[in-house]
Amino acid sequence: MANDDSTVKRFPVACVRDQIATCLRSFGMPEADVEITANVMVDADKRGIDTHGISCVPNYFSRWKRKIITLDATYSIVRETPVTALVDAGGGLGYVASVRAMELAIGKTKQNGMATVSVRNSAHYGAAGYYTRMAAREGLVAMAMTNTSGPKVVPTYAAQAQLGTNPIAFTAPAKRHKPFNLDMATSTVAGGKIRNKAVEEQPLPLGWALDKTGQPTTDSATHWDGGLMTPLGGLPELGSHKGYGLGAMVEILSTALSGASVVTRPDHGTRDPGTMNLGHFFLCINPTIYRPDGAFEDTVDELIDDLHATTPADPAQPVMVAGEPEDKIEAERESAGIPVLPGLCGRIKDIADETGADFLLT
Amino acid sequence: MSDGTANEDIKHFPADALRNQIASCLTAWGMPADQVEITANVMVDADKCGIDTHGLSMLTTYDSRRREGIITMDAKVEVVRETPVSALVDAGGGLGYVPSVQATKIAIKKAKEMGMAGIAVCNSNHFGATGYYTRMMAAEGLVGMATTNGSGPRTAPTFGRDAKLSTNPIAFTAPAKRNAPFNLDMATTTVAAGKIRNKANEGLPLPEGWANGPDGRPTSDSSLYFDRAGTQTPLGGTRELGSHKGYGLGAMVEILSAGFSGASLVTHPEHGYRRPGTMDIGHFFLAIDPTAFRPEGAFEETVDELIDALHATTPVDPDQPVMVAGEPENIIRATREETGIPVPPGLRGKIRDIAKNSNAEFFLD
Repeated sequence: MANDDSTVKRFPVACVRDQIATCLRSFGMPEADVEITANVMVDADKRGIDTHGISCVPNYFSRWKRKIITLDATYSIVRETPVTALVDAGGGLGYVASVRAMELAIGKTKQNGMATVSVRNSAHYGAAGYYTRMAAREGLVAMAMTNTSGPKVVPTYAAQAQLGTNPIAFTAPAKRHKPFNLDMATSTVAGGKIRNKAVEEQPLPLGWALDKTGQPTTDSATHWDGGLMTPLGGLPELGSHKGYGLGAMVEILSTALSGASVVTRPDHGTRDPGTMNLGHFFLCINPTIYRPDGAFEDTVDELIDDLHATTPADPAQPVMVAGEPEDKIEAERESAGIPVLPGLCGRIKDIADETGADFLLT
Repeated sequence: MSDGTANEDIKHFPADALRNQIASCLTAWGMPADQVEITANVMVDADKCGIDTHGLSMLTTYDSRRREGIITMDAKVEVVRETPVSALVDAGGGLGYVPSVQATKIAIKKAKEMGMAGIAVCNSNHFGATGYYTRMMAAEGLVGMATTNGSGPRTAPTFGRDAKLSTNPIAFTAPAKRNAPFNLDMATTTVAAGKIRNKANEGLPLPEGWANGPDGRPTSDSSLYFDRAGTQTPLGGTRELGSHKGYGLGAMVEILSAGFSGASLVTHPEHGYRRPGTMDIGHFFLAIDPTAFRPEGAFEETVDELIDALHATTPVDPDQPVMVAGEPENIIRATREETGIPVPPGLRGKIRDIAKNSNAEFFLD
């Protein structure tokens, strides 16, 4: 999430994008792929999803060095019907394959009303909502899901992590409003939030985490001692089995349709050289197969208006709809620039020094 | 899921007794025989697998709705728009079961032909347990998803004080081979409204965190269900525990159910009463054929692999092993085939009154 501490240095969007691009180029990614990847990544930084933009560069650097991603990957369509496709990402980072998969889904949906595109042999693809927003710009409804690099979240009743944060994105176009844009992990909170509490030695709200024996805990220090993340709901009596169920649904749609590696495999992510074999799922529907042109968007606008009109518990905190917090940050960062924390800047500098990439965040 | 009401007053009945009870009431209310059969089968299936909020107990709600004139008991279901991968179904103002079974059958047929299909239903009413329809799809080897909006707002958005969304459930079923299908069927609220209703019917308190009072604070007072004085929480419960995600999922379900079908939004001030003879509730059904992507059987093998791995998870308590979605219901189904279906006294009394007032036979003595 956004870090808007005024002491943090800010950089223009183009500068952050160029920094991402020079790093990727120095890892050996072809120019056309660099262009697409840097654009998707900087979009996350622009929208305040600071966990999914430039901060991912060190991760990708280490995965590249460990040879579990292929930077000059070949994208291919393995199987195709008028409304479906199976895409092989060739072991590359997920961005290029996912943009092309969503473009494929959009094309099929415009022609045939809906489409599902499944991607295998991929890696991290950034913020899931980027791809569903691509479809909304074309007047289409979209869903996107992905599995992840390793287990972090416990099933209900478990003392062992078995699923990733397995995100779901859903975007629906509106007319008067920006698209409704849900982009959520199926865990209670992001891992980074628990880490931040642990660093500051603050207690955790009950339900965020379990200790290594699977007991709910408020002790953030358990983060350093095998602490586990909870599925959305947090506790069994508050419905954690629903968050767990949603996480498993995302795993099924991302891997079982595509043939990608299931995150529960002991050697998941490192099984074959040159690929993590993650899987993604993209679904796209044209609302005009059901209703006259524009009627769907009118309904979405009506819903958003009604939700905005909800009496707030605190007048200072009005009721919002999904996507609005990010839209606000985007508007602000377009002009004020993207804040990059000094620790991250330092890590990017080290990488740039090592690979010979230009360092632009000065 | 089964509620823990006091055991001594609970009587058990064979599934057929409940089905006959449901059928006799629906028939007495003027539903044609072919529709009664479908409806009673779907409803009693919920009772059979422990979804006690969506079977026999719904007769109390349907009785008051039909008396208000917002259900058409002899509704005509009609496909009003169609493509090779989609259909828009008008439920004619009837209960949601018949149009939803029909919509699911259309989804199955089209998905088998084309690889996927999505069916939207408008002008409908309550359709029972969402997972029934996605399990129909899984029984045909398809991956299924289903959503519906609700009869009235019960759930407050994050940061909100008034209820704006219903419990807006989503179901997802994926077929397996060695295991029973993975079958997620969940309200996007912390709990289903029917669970609060069943507590209220039996005069039991609510667990903390299921609902908020009119002041927006947690309450254990189940009578708020009858007074409509409080709100349910979206999954997550509080902003701190991620209620904005449950709220977002609820809004997604509203958009899928009403946006595609053109049904009434639950936020409309007159929702449920905008036109006589219908509540204009909307549903959405999606089916995907895994063989459009992978060789026959490969999808099911991956689902089995995942289920096996999840079963092998180290449990907190060895007596409470890790399960996957759908298994608690499968266990209850097996038990109830032996023991019959438990019907608590409060509900039995209500059904007796309804049967009497409708001139329907009473089967639950």
